[in-house]
Amino acid sequence: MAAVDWGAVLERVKVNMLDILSAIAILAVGVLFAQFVRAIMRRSLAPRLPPHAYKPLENAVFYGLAILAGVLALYPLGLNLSSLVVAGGLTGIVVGLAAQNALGNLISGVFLLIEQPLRVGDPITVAGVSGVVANISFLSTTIRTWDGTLVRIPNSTVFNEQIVNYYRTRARRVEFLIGIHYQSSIEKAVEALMRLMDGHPYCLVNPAPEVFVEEYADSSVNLRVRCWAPPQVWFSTKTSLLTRLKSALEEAGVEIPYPQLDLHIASSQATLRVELEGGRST
Amino acid sequence: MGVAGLPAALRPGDELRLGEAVVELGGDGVLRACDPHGCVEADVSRGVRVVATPAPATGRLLRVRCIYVEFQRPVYAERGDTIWFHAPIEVEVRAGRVLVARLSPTRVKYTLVGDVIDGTICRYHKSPAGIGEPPGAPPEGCALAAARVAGDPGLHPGAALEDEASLYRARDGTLYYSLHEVSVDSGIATSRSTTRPPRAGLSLAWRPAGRAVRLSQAITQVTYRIAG
Repeated sequence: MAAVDWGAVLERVKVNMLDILSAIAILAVGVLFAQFVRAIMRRSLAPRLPPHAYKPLENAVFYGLAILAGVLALYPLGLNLSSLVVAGGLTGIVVGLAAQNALGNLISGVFLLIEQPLRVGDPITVAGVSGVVANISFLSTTIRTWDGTLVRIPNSTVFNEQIVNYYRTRARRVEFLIGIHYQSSIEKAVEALMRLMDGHPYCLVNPAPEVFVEEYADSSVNLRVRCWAPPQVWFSTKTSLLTRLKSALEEAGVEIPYPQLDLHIASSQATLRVELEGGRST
Repeated sequence: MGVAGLPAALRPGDELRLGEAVVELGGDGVLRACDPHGCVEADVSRGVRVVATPAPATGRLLRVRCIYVEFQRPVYAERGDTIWFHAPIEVEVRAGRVLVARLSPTRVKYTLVGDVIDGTICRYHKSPAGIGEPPGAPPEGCALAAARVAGDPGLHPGAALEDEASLYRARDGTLYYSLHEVSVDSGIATSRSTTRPPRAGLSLAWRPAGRAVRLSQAITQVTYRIAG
């Protein structure tokens, strides 16, 4: 058995270890530098720009620098870009198959950042999830739902689903249906509801609020009430109007009825026995 | 002890009333600022300067870019005419350099200028208007504003002022918005704010932070439709 030249082996391992350590050092320094640049960008851009403008920018710079550091880290290991390009043909297929979803998300993320159908801070509904966009990265979009949980949705899903954006309009309509008693005055009810909306700061003057009879229903005359509000205060406008609506109608002498049923007895000879609580009967 | 006019420095015990807005600095250092939409209270250290200054009515409740003043009756105006009207103001209350409250002496209401997709939400106000002369002294909580018309003659239902407008003060305490220019072309009016005072003899009362006054500078613009 041939004697092993341990000195040569150790020398080779030492060289390889040094290369690996150099690569790790370059990668670590590169990522730290990318984080540093991102922090600087955030500090300088955050006071001046909205999150939807500076976050994609800082993400692009961070990931760009991190990828550059990754490429530079390959040099001490004897790999360079030209050899990567040659090897890329084969590895591209392997990696492509393995990372099909990730690449799909990445490409969708780039398109989302370019097209911007949603921005950080926008209230949206996408893929059945409603809330405020908390973050848009290259691979996923994070939504903070109305009850405060964070939902991460892959960008390919966001890109392919129907997106409802509640902020990308200048005004949203607040709308509800209210029934009044048949014996109450429709004119008084309309007047009271119009006064309520005119007095609300967020009910826009134009488009003008409107109240009209929607239908003569079984137990009530149903009025449709509409006003337009800036999208950021749509919910508070709706809830405050609903809260004040009852007292506004009551002050105008308008009654909101319970569901009711008139019972007509065909035979005048029939006796209707009515039992009241407490045992008395008539 | 009352304080008249804006800008005003408040000392302990002072009270400033303007329309429905009230600013009180108690002898115990409690600063209380109220308007029809709510109140703000703060403890202010003795010796800290409390100042109330006028500001364009674009910051109370919602931050908006413009004020749309609808005229009580539409005004016919030709090139070179100046339409005068009243526009609401707000009151900024600062302790030292810190903004403590922004108050509206009049009730806040908004309107949409333009359409739902790409229009602009503006603060709304209704005012009488006059050609060449102001339609009387402005009510409390309002300033005088002037829009110089250029372009086609037309029937103006209102005028838009921008949040970048400056405010000027006359010797009698009347506040003025900086001059606006409205150019009309094919029934579309484009309103631009300038930094120019609308008449001579006024001193600067407020200007947007970080902007120096440059004469005849058009800053922002709002477009709306008029009857041509």
